[in-house]
Amino acid sequence: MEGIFTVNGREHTISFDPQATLLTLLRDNSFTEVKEGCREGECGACLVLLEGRLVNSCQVFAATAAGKKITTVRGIGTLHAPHPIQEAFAESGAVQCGFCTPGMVLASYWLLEQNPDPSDEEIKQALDGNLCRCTGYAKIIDAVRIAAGRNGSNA
Amino acid sequence: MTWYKPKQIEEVPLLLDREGVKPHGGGTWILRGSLKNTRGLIDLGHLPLGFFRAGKSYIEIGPCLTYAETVHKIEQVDRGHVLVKALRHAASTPLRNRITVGGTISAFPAWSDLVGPLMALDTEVSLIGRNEGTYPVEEYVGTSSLRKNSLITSVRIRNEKWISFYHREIRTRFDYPAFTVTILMKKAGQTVKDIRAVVVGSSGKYRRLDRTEESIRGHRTDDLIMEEIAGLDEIRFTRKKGLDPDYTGHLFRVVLERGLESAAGG
Repeated sequence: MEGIFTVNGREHTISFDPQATLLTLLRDNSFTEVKEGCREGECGACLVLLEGRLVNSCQVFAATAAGKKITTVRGIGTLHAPHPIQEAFAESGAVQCGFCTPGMVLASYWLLEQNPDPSDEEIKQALDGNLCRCTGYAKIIDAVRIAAGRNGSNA
Repeated sequence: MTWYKPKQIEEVPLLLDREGVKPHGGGTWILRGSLKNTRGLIDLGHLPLGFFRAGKSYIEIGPCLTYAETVHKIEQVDRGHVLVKALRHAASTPLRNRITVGGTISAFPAWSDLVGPLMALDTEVSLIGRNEGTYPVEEYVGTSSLRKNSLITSVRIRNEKWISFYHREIRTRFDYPAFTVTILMKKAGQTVKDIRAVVVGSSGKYRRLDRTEESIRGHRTDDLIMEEIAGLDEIRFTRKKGLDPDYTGHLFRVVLERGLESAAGG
């Protein structure tokens, strides 16, 4: 089947298998910043914003995302124009192997959109769907705190 | 596999009558299982099934409302509502943006954070399709034939104030609960006017705690010995990964006792 997907502000007409997940569709069409982890909605590596809502792309049928707006981590900042959340992650040493980082950044972005001044408890709850096997989370929470101090998702 | 995208709810019953065709409201349950015998999915995303209506007597929830949306909407009616307590920490933040009320009721996984509170609230579900009508949620989840070729179109709970207690037995924050306990209580002074208590995750998946309720209803809270009452309903648990059934049963009684004390003191 075929559908139109607006990814990071650009329309793409993509053909896909009816059983495909949004994760597969994105990765097969070079949005490899969306990482494939557990495929069960538990690790958060594949997070994207679907119509502005944080979702596990492995838990979304591509067919139901056709015609909708999708934002990957590339959509909020790039290597040469990073988002303040991405800068905060780099500065505070919140990135080690980097596999969980796109999901962590998007979960932080979603949080700061809803709540520009979160408490540590609220940061922990917002990241409850993201697993990191390297950092022990402390640096990640530091990074979200720093980003929030720099005016959250709008900085 | 074929996708059907009906524009009107009336189109759904005909589609449900087709072999191997299932409704999909946007949740996660279908993707967790095998699609081997699924010939078609009905995308409910284009239908007006994500509503929330809070009237004087009833709250009506659309089956496609997600957990996150449900918490947000009910919080505006009653911040201490048991559904807010139950769903606020269910699953994870991104999953709460996907898991739907209707999908959870129809699938009713043993670790559900939704169905116990809905049973305690004496919820009714309205169906279209082969079993069109309105049914108590307890009857719906307990009768497999009711669920076949039918679609939940509305979930209705009474809009009333309860003292509530909700516990999910987990070892880490993002864990499937071994069991959940829901207690609702109404008091007039020190007398318990009404009580409802439900466990989900026990043998047989769920139990209404009838003996517990009977021994408390109509009594003064300072006359009640909760430690004894918590052992009245014989609740058994099956072996789960890392959890001995006897130990789980002991944990359950402790949680129930604390919950009853908390509700009675509330």
